[in-house]
Amino acid sequence: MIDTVIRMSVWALATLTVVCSAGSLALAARGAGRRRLRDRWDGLHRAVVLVFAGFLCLVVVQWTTLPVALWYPTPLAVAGALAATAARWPDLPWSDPVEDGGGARAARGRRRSALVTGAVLAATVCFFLL
Amino acid sequence: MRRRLRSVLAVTVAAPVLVAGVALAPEHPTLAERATGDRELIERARPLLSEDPRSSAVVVRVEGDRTTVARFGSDTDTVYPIASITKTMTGMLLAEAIERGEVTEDTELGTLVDLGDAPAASVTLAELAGHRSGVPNHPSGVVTNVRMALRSLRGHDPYDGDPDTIVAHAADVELSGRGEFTYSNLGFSVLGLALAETAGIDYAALVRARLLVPLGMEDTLIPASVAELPDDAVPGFGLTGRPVAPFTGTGWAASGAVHSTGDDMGRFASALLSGDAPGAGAMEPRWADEGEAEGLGWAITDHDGTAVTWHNGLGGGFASMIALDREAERAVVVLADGPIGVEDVARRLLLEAP
Repeated sequence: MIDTVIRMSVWALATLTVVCSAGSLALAARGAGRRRLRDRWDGLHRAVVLVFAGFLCLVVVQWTTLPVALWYPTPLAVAGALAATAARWPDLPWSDPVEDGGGARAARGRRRSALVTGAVLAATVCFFLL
Repeated sequence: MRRRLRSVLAVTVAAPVLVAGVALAPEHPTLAERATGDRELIERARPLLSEDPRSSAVVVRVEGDRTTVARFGSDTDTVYPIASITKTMTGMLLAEAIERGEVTEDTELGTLVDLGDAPAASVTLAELAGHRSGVPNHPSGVVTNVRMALRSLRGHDPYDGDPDTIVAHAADVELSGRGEFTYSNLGFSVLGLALAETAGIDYAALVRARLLVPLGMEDTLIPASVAELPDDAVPGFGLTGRPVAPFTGTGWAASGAVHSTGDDMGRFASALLSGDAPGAGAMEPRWADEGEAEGLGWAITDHDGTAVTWHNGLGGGFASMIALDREAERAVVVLADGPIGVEDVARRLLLEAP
């Protein structure tokens, strides 16, 4: 009984993280105001974080003990959020150093975050698969 | 135009993610349709084995002189890791060495392996075989344990290390709860190394010489690495569904590195029931704890008046169980892939009427 609760809890936490991240990214891609995507580096960073969360969901959840149907919300959420980001892509500058976005330093920070997160994702995938 | 571009980009990004999501979707292995062996045992075992995710299994039932086998997705020479059932063999080697006069139950570990003044030097061989030495399950040290955890997370065998490494681990640990039952892979591993040291050969050679050859278990092996396994060895999988490396190696061998076939384990069980197995005295209970008793590497549990002598194995992508009703001269062995134990399968096949 306790084992089942733990397995379901891990699945719920992992999937909720993916769904919330996906929702947040999709809203940022479509929205205006302070939470909108600032630039393409911002979009890339959040997209990589989302893919990372989806990958962790695949490798840490004990799927042999859970219905396979519980996996599909993850790729659906990731696909939806990435599609929204891609649709917004043509309207985004590569780097947006405007003052209300935090200025040039914040723009450089978003680029750095995207690159670092991408490297962490690549290293994690290699850790599990090699 | 811009709207079309947005749509194309959205589909271009979403489609591969959805395809990847389907391609990488976890699978629930199901028990192989192909089954060979005794029809009645196949019919009894299949629903029990099918309750949990597994694709390959072999079930052996021994009743007196009669041995029946049911194979699911396997052949007569298919090798499975027996995991911690190996501990029963290590316990039997201890019992056999006592009969030979090479050691006694009270021989201290430090007299056989070089542990200096370490606390573990004072533990006796019987304490190690009864999981009562106070030696912990795993080595001490954050780095070592993090390393083992990371290896396990990656699906690699966390129990790597040569005999010298295991002795060094034993020399480092503090004893805790000596005299009380605390399951210890490290304890059994160093016990096996100590017995091998006494005999002047390595553990694999000791098992071969004193158990496998006398019992005719010709297809059983103790691989030093995955490379020594047959090409058609069954691949195991873990709880996440990803492939997992089986337990092999030389340092931890005595706690779980033996690999065997259904037929060989049938010979093992049959010899245990008849009393012909070397070191069969290891099955005699020596310690008792609330309805359970332990021998040297064996557990004895009461099931509604029936004493079942048993040991299970779980890890490295496989599950195993040997259970004997010595009074009724019956035994069942189950070896299977997958991360879910087969204890209940074996007990039901042993105790429930056909």
